[in-house]
Amino acid sequence: MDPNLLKGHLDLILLAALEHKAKYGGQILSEVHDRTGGTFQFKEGSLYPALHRLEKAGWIEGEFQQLPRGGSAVRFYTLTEHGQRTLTEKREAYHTFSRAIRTLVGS
Amino acid sequence: MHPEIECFIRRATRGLWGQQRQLVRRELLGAVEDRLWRYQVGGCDEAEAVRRALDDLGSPAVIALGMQRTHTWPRALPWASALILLTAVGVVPLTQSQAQVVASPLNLTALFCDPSAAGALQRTQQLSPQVSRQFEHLRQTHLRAVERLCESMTSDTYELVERDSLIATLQTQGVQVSATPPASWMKTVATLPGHQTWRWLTFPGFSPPVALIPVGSVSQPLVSVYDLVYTVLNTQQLPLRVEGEINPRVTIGRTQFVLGTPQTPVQASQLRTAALARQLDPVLNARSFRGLTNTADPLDQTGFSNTTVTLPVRGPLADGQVVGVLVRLRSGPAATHPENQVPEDLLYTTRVRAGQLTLLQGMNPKTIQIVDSFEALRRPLPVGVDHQVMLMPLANTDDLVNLSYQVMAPATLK
Repeated sequence: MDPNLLKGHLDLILLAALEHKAKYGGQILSEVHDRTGGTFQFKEGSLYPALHRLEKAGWIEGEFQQLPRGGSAVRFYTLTEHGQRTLTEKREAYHTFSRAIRTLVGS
Repeated sequence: MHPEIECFIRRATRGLWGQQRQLVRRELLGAVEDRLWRYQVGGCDEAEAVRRALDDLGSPAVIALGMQRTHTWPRALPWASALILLTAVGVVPLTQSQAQVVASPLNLTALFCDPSAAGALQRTQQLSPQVSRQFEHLRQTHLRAVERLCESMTSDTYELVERDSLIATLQTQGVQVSATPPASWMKTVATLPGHQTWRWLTFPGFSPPVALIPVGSVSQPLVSVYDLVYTVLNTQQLPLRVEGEINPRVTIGRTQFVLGTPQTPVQASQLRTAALARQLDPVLNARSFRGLTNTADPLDQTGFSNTTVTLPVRGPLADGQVVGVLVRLRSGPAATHPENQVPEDLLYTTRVRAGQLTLLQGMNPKTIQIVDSFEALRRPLPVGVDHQVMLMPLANTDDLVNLSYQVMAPATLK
């Protein structure tokens, strides 16, 4: 897949992955991988700067939580109300754009 | 902690400082341990599990870059300021000359860090009313953070050059410039914000290409001269020489150019600091250090008052001797957070002047330790000591590649 396509939709992908449940980085990556059948593949490390950017925008909130396995805590991210509204807007914008592209190039 | 993991996290948090670094560090440690646990449960031995876990996370340099671009504190403040200024003020670039690189026509740190009434007046004159108000609000609400940042960010007159001026100059010297990254980087780079402004430089007779990663706005990209030197040395051991103190002539391989113009001068000290930092990093990575932050020579700063202190230098240091200064500082009592046991390191290069060493404001060590080997840097900060300044006399400072290996023994100094 063209990485530019991933980049253009990264915010939408991450917000959608967090829509129903708080997740930490590894879980977000697995969610994206599973739900897209492996279409989107990127290193876990490149996820964190993006998550911090979304957090600064006020769309998600991070909180350290201990896992049952012990060891160092991981940082769970939750969608905020602002983030939920943003997700809805981005989703609608994506569908509009997608319909327009399909109309243009034929499906 | 496993040394490879420590090294990885250290590299991934490079350029971050204070609480932000602690936050990212803690998050990455949790992520690595999670991967590690899964691989070990799956039957991998520890070494293999570490290798796979770190491979899953990807390049620490890419993480560091992404984090630096996301978090404006502390190093990115001047860059963020550049972005604001260049869009708010509408700066007109100065005329380019063939082999002379135009620096950013703004002294950003002086503009933002001068706490005096004159500084406030300058901000109101040079910034739009809205940006000026925003910045004064920032000073009021985060004064300590701004002060601490400015202490550690004391800037040369010009620390940024215009990317397009640099590229035009390099092209006249036969350097190939491409906007397309090497195939191995393409996938990763494409996911990073601002990658459209990146360029890849192939110097005549050398490969692979060097990444040129600007800051500032897309329409007005700027390149930190510190990052330029660090990246060149980090990518490959290109011969890299610097001659002159102001507007130095830089030689990279067979390519020669002058950094700075009479109107926008660049100081050589920050180039030496970058070279020293590049070669100190592996030493510091070998221990659980929190990383190396750089700052400019306090002798070069302009427009400030009462921002430096001078201490008499004991020992045979001659006037004009170039020294590397490593400041190590514990930020708080170890009991409050385990991270506080590990000192933060600040590096700059300067010259001995009239038997005195110029330190940044707020640094007031009881003693200055003159060291003549990098082994001395490996020694842990003694228990009960929260502040240490080490001085390394440097020889033949034109040769940036070998700079750090040319530490002079104090006994050999005149």
